[in-house]
Amino acid sequence: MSWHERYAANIMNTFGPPKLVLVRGSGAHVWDDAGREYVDLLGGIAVNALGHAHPAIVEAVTSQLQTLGHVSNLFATAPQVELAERLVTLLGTPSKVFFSNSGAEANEAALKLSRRTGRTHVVAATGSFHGRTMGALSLTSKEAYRLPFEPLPGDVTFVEYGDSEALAAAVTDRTAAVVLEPIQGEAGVVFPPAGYLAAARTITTEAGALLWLDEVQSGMGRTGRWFAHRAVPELLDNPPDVVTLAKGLGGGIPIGATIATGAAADLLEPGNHGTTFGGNPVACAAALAVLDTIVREGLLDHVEFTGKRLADAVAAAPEVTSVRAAGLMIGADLDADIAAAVVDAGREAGFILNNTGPRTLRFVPPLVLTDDDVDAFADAWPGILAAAKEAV
Amino acid sequence: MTRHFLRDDDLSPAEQAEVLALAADLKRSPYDTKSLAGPRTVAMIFDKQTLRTQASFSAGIAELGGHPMLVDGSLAGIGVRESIPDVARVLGRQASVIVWRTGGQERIDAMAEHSGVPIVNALTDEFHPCQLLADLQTVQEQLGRLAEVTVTFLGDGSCNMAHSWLLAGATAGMHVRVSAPDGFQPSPDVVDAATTIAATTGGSVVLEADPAMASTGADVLVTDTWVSMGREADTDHRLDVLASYSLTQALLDLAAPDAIAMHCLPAYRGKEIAAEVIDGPCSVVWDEAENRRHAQKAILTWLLQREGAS
Repeated sequence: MSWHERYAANIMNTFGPPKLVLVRGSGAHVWDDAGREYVDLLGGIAVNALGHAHPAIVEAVTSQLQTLGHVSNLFATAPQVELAERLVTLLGTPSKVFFSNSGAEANEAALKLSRRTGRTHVVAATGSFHGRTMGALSLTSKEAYRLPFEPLPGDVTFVEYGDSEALAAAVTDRTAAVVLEPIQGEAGVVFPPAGYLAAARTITTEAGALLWLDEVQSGMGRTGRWFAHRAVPELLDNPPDVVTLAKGLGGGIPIGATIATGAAADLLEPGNHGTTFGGNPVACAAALAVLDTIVREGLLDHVEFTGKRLADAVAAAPEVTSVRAAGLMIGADLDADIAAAVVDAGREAGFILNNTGPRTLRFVPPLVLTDDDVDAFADAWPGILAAAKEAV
Repeated sequence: MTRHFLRDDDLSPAEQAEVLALAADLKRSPYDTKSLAGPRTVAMIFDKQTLRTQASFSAGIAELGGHPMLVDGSLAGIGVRESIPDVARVLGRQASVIVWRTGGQERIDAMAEHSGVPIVNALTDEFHPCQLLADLQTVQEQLGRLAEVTVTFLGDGSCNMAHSWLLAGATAGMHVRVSAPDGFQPSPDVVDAATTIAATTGGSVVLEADPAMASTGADVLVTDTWVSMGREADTDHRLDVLASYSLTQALLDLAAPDAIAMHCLPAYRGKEIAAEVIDGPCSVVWDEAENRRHAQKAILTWLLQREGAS
């Protein structure tokens, strides 16, 4: 039996049949079970910040596992405390951290934290994606994801992403929190209009509600900054109350973090929340290795420069009608519904691509993507588009 | 313990913010703070040429109620006619603070070791921290923030201004880019130190040889003369190699829409900076020059507060 057959026989069909069986990776490259090499422009969906098999993560995980692998949250470990300290420092405001294992879990913790305000109403945005667990799902706007699982927890109002007036109208003195992605990933890398996040801060502050920013995809250097929201000057002086992280934080090792700032940091009290694996020292050691490497290798600026090159390469094709980019978080719209065919043609040409809609592509490659990788894609891009158009 | 200001990272991120806040206060109310009342004497020693430094320290010390004592380095012969430790002990018994512009950083380190009073670096071959305090004050005034501001230093990355931008910028949580040709790269030790600081402040440090790439999206473009004091000998070679790193309007056009252009002066128009840039609407060089006074008053006051003397 092939890997594909064995997968189909034993793994729940929640993702559809896998496109490839990958066996190894290095940097921004992966190899399949037939030995074919691909440039990875998806990075495990914005997860493999340092690419594949990065020695810093390998070393950190190996040495931590050889020392202390898991202790439970009845005890503290050095990597857990150090990582929390580092995240608080990077956020630049007094905060406290709750560690979990994924973005959905980070958002679940934030949702529970928001309930501790004594309010239950949450405002979320259209186009949002916050996870698939029941609480996180209640905040995720796509009906196809939500409806089969109603009733979901909540008292959630969805408002048009980017519409400050709609947001102001939806937030009341019953509102516990407004949850927003500073840049929407699943929606196809969608940016809010200028002033929107600052307005969200003002609106929530005036209503006594929490501003909760989901940086699961946009955080940890993805946009060339530690946090995407720090591109908004108003949020430097008036930071969000809650920031959630995951994906790139562990560079491929599962870890989520819910960071609450100021008074919100003390909303969760003993007994309010818990986790078996959250704050696991191996995962925290991996995250520390990611943070250290981003700093040591100057990846924030590398991301900005390489992101610009990749965005320019994507935009060079006449079939591309618009490109939206912040660092290595890039969305592109095509002039026809060929995005799925582009992903298939890309794979044939040796590139791992991703589409978020029928005519929208998303590029969230490893932050260590090289200029050579970008050049290789730029050379192949016209051929990929031609093959896709032929296949449709 | 006596605190000194010998290099930019002598101040922690919190302390740097405190000094800059004080500088802003002193600019608003220049005559209300008398941390040098007495008058207390500040010795200013110049082993190298000066205009802004002497002027701004003299004026600032007077505003703080103190007395600026000018010491001519060429007459004093520090380290030649008299050893640095001896000079430090002598001046330390006359002055409350010693401000020194000199060559090697080891000279000012030795002065600090023996003076018993705060030493302020008014420019060495390696660092120019007083200029950076003024520059950070200027950026704060112009852009409203320091954190997350991207600054690109163009030109001779091995000069004191580039080193100080690396350290002070990283301390302030800025994204510091140095764009310099081969042979003009910053000291690896300084880059390492700045990188370590950046890890704690959310800033970043990068060396990007391509000036266009380095300028793209930057909030601040900064440069310094290509022929720093003491490096006049190989002028022609330097001008050839550095030509493409000139802060031109073309590079400014690649920067952020509200980007500012900075230069610590003296400037050589048509060399490291285009006349249309330094004399244009994005230039803040005169603010920088003025802020030398306010920022230096702040560091003097702050150091004396730590002495328990003011």
